[in-house]
Amino acid sequence: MNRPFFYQVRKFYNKSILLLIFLLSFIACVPFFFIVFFVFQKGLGVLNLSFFTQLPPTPDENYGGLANGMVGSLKIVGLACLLGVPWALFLGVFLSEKPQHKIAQSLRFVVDLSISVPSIVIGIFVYSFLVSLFGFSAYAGSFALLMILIPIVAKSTEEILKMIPHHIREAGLALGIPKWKVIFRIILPGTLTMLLSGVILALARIAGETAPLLFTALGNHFFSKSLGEPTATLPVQIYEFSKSGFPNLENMAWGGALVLISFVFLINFGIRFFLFLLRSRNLS
Amino acid sequence: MSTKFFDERLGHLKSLIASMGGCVEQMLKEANMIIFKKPSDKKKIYQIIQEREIEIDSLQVKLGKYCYRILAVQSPVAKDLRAILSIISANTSLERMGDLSFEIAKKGRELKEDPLLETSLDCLEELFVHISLMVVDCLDAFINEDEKLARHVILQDQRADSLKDKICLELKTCILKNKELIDTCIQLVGVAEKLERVGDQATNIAEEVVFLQTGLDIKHQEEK
Amino acid sequence: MKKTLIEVKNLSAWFKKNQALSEVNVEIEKNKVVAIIGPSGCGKSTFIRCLNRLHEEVEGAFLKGEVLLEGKNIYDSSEDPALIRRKIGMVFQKPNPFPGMSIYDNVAIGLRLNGMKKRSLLDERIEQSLRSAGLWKEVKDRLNYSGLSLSGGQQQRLCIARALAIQPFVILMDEPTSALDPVSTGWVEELLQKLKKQVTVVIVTHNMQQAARVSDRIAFFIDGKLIEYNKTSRFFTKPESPKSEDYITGRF
Repeated sequence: MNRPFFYQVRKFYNKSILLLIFLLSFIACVPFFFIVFFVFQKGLGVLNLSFFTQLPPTPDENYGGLANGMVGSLKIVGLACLLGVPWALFLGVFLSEKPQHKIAQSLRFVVDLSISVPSIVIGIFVYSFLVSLFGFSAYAGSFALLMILIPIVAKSTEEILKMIPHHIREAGLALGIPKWKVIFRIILPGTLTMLLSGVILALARIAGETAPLLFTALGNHFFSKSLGEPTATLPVQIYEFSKSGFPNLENMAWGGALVLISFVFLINFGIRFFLFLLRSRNLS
Repeated sequence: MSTKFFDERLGHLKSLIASMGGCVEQMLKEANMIIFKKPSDKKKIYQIIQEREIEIDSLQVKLGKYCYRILAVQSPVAKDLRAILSIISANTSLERMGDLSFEIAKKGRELKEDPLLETSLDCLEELFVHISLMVVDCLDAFINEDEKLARHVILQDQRADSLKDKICLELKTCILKNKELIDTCIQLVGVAEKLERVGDQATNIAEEVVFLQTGLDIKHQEEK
Repeated sequence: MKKTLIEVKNLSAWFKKNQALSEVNVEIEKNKVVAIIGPSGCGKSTFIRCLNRLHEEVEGAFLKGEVLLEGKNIYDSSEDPALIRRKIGMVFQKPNPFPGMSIYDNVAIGLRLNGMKKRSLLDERIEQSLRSAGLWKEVKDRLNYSGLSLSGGQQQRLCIARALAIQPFVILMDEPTSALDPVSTGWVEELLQKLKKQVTVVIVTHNMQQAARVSDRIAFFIDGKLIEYNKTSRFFTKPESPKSEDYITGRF
């Protein structure tokens, strides 16, 4: 048996697999780079001050912006996060801390299912029993997004908390700390970075959702005065303008897409930077 | 701890003890021959004894080294620890027994032949046989870890002491009767005393067997 | 003078249908180190986890019998497990500093969550605990570093300091050195001898030599039963039970 020869073969094999992995990863990223590239190319020219301050134009106007959509999106997504994130965190804690509990088991089943429910179905659902009673509103939009956000955040929270070894919890208990304090004062703060990653992921997802908002917040050509009115959102505006056939509106859509992407990026980096600051203040 | 390995080592150590014991038994037998049988090839037998003494010394060094190593590497506990400790102790005892046997043979070689000593020589031969039996028994007890036999050997030590006292008394009367015998008698007292000390060492080994089996140190208890 | 601190009476413990301990009776004296030894799965860990009521935190676990701490049954219905655990600290097999917490916070958290807020008091107690755990000199200039930035041996000493900070009078250790190298193990063992002056230690260990080195008493378990409870010096020279002898000489 010629050992050096086999060693060469194995080395070659190893290297080719590594190369394959690298190539596939690269290919997977290519569409992302194209999207960013196109959105910047088409959208950057549209951006100016009025884009952020004015209402959308009519097809024959050459100015205007998507200010109402941005404000609306912020309102709806913000409301959904404000209500949904704490709720989902509690749910995730419950699922991970009481894994054998009967209610937890059925809840986990529901959460797993609702992650895979298409968002348009959620839109129709909210439409059929909220909108049909109270009409189109930002509330209904937030509620639809909430239903998408909660299972995602709950699931990621559960998985992250499960990653924390049991003996860490027991170390807390062994110090004479009640169980709920162990979870909320030791485990959750300790996993804050990872938990927020889950939240950011969910946030990015709902910020771009169009289908459920079509049925719930509907849209508005003007600023809505309250959360109870139909409200314009960026994704819905992008959707409507891009299929309008008027070049100036299509440009507006590109601009909106750029703002949306940047918004998600900014939130992502913003939260990470905030955590970094927090951490470097505590742990120098 | 690799037990099989340890047991193998222990078996090896025991076989070394057995060969040391064998040497001692043979030396006693040969010393006996020199003193009582008055053989023609006295010198040759003495030489053999001398060689055995050297062999015992080298065995003692070897055993000591092995025990030291096994303690360092295996850190035995409980019975295993007691086994090693008893082997170390038996090793020392056997070496002493070898020395004593050699000295007995030396004295036997210098002994002048004298028919007048018959009765005390009879008594000395009885002591010789008694001690040899103790040595054989204590070795058997040690190799087979036989506590009963060991306790039997320990009890035999008293008889050895009284025999020795008897011999000394007889030799004393011998000297009083015939002053010319004084040199020979002193030699014989030395032989008896050394034999008695061989018996003490055999008792030591027997006591190690009891320690090995029970963890109890029964040395010096009869003195209390 | 013999002073019993913990008395375990007829303790049996189960995980669902599996019995982990049966009818254990032990008296633990004050300021002694008691080592629990036995083959894997013999109930060693379960036993010490019964002493600070951690056993009941496992799904489906329950027990019968009494554990008297200074004469009072810690399983009495009026006893709060959290309060019991403040008196009986625990160090685990793997070093487990709390994630995302500084060295200072790791030691302080037990005190803070038990109501001590004053910074000067905290500072004092934390220095004292870290000194007791033999870690102060190494970390005093970087108390703000993450607990996870320490080496394994340091982390384990940090966990010991964390347990000491709330001033328990018993410390339970569940194989505290099994994940450490010999030098760190030496540190921890030396520390045990010092700790003995202040607290009573119950330590589970797989390392027979370690049990022999650090403990005053040995409790030997097989299959959830206490086979022998004896002085360490006696246990390792002439154990009473032949099963103990077989186990410690590797003939189990």
